[in-house]
Amino acid sequence: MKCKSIEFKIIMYSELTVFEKEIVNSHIEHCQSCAARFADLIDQRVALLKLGKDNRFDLSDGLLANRIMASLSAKQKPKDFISSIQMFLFPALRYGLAAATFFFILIFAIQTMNDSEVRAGIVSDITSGEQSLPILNTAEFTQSYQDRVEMVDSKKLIVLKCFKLCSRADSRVACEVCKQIATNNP
Amino acid sequence: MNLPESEIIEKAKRGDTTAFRKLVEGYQGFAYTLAYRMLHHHDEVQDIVQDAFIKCWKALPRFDGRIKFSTWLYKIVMNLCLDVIKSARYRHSKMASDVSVDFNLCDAKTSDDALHQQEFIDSVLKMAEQLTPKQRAVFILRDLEDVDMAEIGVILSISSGTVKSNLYYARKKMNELLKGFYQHNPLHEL
Repeated sequence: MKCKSIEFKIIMYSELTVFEKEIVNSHIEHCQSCAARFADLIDQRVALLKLGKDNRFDLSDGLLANRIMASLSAKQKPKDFISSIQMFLFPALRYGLAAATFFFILIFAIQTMNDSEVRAGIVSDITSGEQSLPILNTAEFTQSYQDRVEMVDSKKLIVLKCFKLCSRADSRVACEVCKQIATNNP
Repeated sequence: MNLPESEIIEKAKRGDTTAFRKLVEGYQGFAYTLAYRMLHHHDEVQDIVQDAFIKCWKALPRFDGRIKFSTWLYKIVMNLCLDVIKSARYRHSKMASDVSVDFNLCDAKTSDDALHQQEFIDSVLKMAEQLTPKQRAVFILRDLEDVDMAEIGVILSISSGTVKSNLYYARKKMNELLKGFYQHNPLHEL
């Protein structure tokens, strides 16, 4: 094996597998320059490890610990009972909140789709120019629409609540669709 | 009474500050040493260690014991150090101030050996500043702190391949720098 290709293994010798170490060992047996570099790197690693081990900070005076604990109590000291409950509920609340958000988004999306379908149906029916709305007898209208429209007698309609265009309860004059429905069904 | 670490952690998780203080006392030296080796600046290090333990206290209820507490703490300290290194404030303060050498080491301060060691580690840390932040982190964790490779990957949230390549370039660079250092300081020759 060439010296160039063994360089990585020499530098990373301490991280090699037994098999890879054998490759390095057999190479340095007959390559003096690589053997010298290898010895140099090994010495360096040993010296650094010793240095790292010997030169640790002694903080047994407790000054830093005091400072940490003081800042901790100053920031927020947990209340035993309340914090225990919070700790217990925290994961449940987080997932519950996420699930509820997803649920509401889903409901809103379905509602919006239904409303837009119904509205499209009404507009097309109104613009067709008929005096009475034939819509109650067609299958195109969803439950959402029927909930908002009350049949007073067999032909007349009262709009109880507007569709998506305006959300006011008394919305006969609030939006174009309601206006038209009100005009067509006095 | 000496409780096992897992019990101390459990107590601290339930909000027992006395138990948490024991953790602080047990790990502050490691945290301080690691942060000092990364930042090489005492004032900055005290704040980092304090912030790290406060973060640790806040996040302790979510500590599930899948990794060692020391690894988890190292991760917090290392992330804070890397944030500081990336900040403009740190770069400016490094340029403005010289390295302080007021070490408070475990070894006797007066002995020649300790002084040489202080000088040497100071130089090593100064040289390590020439590495990229990731290379510096990997080098310090592996070659000074003797943390194993898999743990380094967890601490820095990188793959084992990335750890290896960073370590390779860091060692290569440090070897060159140390050669130059020995030429100018033959007393430190290995």
